[in-house]
Amino acid sequence: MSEDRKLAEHLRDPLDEASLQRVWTQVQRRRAQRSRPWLWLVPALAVAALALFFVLPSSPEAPAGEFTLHTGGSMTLSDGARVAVQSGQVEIGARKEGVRASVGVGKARFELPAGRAWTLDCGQAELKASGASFEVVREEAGLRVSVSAGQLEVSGPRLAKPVVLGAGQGLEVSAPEVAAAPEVLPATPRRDRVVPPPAPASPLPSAPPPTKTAVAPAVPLVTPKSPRPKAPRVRPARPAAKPVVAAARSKPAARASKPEPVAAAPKRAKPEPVAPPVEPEVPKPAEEPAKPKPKPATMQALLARADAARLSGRHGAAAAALEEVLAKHGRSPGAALAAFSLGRLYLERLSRPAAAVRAFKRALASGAPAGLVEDAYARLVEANVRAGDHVAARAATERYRRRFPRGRRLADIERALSP
Amino acid sequence: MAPTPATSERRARQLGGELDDAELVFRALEGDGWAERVLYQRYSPGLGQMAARMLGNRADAEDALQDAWITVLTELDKLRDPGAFKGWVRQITVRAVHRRYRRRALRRRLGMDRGIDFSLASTAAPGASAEVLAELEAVDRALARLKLEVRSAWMLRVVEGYRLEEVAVACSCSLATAKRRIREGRLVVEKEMGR
Repeated sequence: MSEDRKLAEHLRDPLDEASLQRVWTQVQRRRAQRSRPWLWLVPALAVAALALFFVLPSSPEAPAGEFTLHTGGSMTLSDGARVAVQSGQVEIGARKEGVRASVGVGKARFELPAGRAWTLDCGQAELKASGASFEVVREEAGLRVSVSAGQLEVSGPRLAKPVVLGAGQGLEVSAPEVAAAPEVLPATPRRDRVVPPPAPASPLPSAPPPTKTAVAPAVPLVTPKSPRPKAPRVRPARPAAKPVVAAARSKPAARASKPEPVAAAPKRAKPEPVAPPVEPEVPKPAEEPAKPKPKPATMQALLARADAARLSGRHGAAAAALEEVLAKHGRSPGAALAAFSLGRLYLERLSRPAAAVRAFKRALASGAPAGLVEDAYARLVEANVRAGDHVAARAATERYRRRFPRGRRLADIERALSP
Repeated sequence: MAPTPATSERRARQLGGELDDAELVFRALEGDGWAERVLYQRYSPGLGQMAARMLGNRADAEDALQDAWITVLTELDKLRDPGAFKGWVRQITVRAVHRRYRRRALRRRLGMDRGIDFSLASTAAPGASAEVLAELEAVDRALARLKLEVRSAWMLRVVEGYRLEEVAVACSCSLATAKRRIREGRLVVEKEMGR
């Protein structure tokens, strides 16, 4: 048998595509576990919580603990709250006074009994609920929420005021740099959903006053003077086709879950082509204190935002997100990588060599991974040259030469230094 | 609209083909999950088949491939030259295969082994000639008698078609040692074939 001939050409592939996909899924799962070495505590906490629950059955306290659910995972807490993750990851921190959860990119369903308040950090928005069933779809481009029962409060930097969604209603919040303004969409119509009553014909100002919790912004948020302002609007599940039937069918359920006719619903129900601009409805500044203060984004969320922006060619937005990472999480282990990425963006995409110099210096000072150090030095030289600071470029070159006498980027550096 | 998994897959394949390993490694180091996926799609088919043929067991091969990629992705920052990714990932996979092979040998001694579920001959292509089938059966018999290191070197060279230098890198040995192992394997195989 000749060694020049590859024997494998006479063989079928023992592993199929599905096997390789399975391996990749397992790799991702195991990496996620490795990235949280404290994760072994989770089953211990869960067991402890369950033990407490059974040992003290009369205890009124809700279960506590830290849980992480991955794709395909689901969990039911002893108070009846159920979380099912169809894709992505949800981290849950349960305390007796309330539950905080972080929803990663993916899709998850929550069925929460009345009682403990749940607060969900979804990046672009924060959700608050108690006694509600809803589905969250978080993507890099935005967030979609659809409520099937109860009420859900949505707040975030893209919403002027918290929006309360009732059963059968949905909301879509675009990522800040992806779209010009947030957009609220109707939930997919479903027969088993509670549909709000038909929209009144009157324009927004004369709509029935919402309850104190059911307040939806009825004004453009970003560009109030735009001819077609995209104000967040909450729409009924079925726009205007069969509102009466829908309302009649679900009237008891609607009454039970109190799906208040939210202020913006009429806009969807009656799409008047000659509707007057909504500028007059801009709330007075005195009403603005109701706007919730946006919570600082997590580093993971910021990096995800930067990735999404970079991959879609919005380099300025990516740089802004990375700057935010450095400003808010400058001491975290991932800061060096963020600084390096920022430097590349400034140097290669945004033609801001001086800013690139700062970023690469920061990457090196923050302890860039070994695989990036050489590249960071080389790019620092290039950035200095392009910024016109040849003295600093030569100094950086010397440092590079001392550290990497046979560096693979030496030729690039010399090319950059040559006039 | 968010891309569907199928769209992402297509995009990864299209864009991945335009980028070299070094660029993908840089991107992966920056936390770009897409680049990691492209690297996996680029190398896992070949490495997976290689692991399966060396181990003769699909489940063990999947485990070895999984171990290898965990190591690759967690130790990517230790890769000195991102352009050398191909040799590095092969080396890690061969090591993972060896670990899995030794573990299986231990299980076999303890009577806990699931057994080899296929031989090279059993994976012959449908149109393989009788001569090729006979050769593959002889190779299977010979491989069963070879030491692990010799078996690996010979298989990488003859079955997978690696160049000698690539065999040396993948087996973490010198070129001379790789040649010696391949020669040793060839002698045993030829003896089994009656040459």
